[in-house]
Amino acid sequence: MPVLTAAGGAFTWLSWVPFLGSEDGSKYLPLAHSCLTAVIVLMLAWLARMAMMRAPKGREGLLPEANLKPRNFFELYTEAILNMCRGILGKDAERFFPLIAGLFLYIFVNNMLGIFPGFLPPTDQLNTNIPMALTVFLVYNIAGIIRQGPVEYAKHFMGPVLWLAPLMVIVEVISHVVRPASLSIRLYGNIMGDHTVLDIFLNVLPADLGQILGYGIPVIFLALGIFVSFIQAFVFSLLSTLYIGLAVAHDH
Amino acid sequence: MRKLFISISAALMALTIPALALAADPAGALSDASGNIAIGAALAIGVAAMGCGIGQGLVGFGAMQGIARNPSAAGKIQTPMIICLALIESLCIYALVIAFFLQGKF
Repeated sequence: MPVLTAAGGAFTWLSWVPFLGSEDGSKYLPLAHSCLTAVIVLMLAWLARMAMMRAPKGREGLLPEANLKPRNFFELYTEAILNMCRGILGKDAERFFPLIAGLFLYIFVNNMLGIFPGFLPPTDQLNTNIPMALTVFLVYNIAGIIRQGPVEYAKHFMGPVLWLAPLMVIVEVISHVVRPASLSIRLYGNIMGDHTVLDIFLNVLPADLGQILGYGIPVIFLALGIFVSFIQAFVFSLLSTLYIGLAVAHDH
Repeated sequence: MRKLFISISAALMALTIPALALAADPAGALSDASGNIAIGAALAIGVAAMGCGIGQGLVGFGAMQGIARNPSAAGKIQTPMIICLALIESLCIYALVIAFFLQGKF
């Protein structure tokens, strides 16, 4: 049976799809994995909706349930992200919460796809990360301009004192341009590095130094992979919230 | 003074000898700058890892001191500590990306 390969020579479950397994189609594999993530996130959203509709209405619905049911799990997730947003954004938390929570879940599922055998994480391509970072960049700039007005928003580039303005404008513009770049490259580097380390300990080292190394040692790196996936999704959404908070603030 | 002289001359020799070795090998598929690119890639991640290690060690030191003073605040200290660690590590990751990029070039 021929092994259908991805662009880097790895085996993926999605290579069984007829077009994606061929030579021309295999460059669309990261996009196909992104679509798989979208399907997973939609299924989770449907599950959350069913859990919410099954809850009793009225005042009884405020009590959490006893064990770890789907409703508790989604309430936990929503409350954690909402508390983080409230700590940084204050009153605007509910306005920006859908973007931040959506980013967190999407990035987390994307990163976790790399841990499961036979899938590529779409976030180890810059193609996935740059649009997310650019979305955050557009959202925080547009929110800042709408909230404060264009003149007031441009004034905050000039720094605290007027005679420092030329230097401060250059520094601020560079730091603003670096923000989406740093968001995307941080995620890309972490996930690509993690996937490469996992690849080395699963494939390269046992092939070179003896098959016994492939049993047991990669478990540590799978655990590290789960930890890094969660932390990177959290850091991306936390930094997005921070940038939005910085742009929208200044005692409106 | 003598140690300074020895260390400087050792560094200069370490930088020039690869160039001489490559100049003596005309039939390789490597280009002229391959040795320098290789040293650049290794130095990028090495120096970045050193700086990142020191930085994260300082974060951990501050966090441990805080927890030692007030053990019941351990949960509240731990969350910002993880955030700081991830942000400092991102600088090391930028250097790793450059190292991978250079490694693909020779």
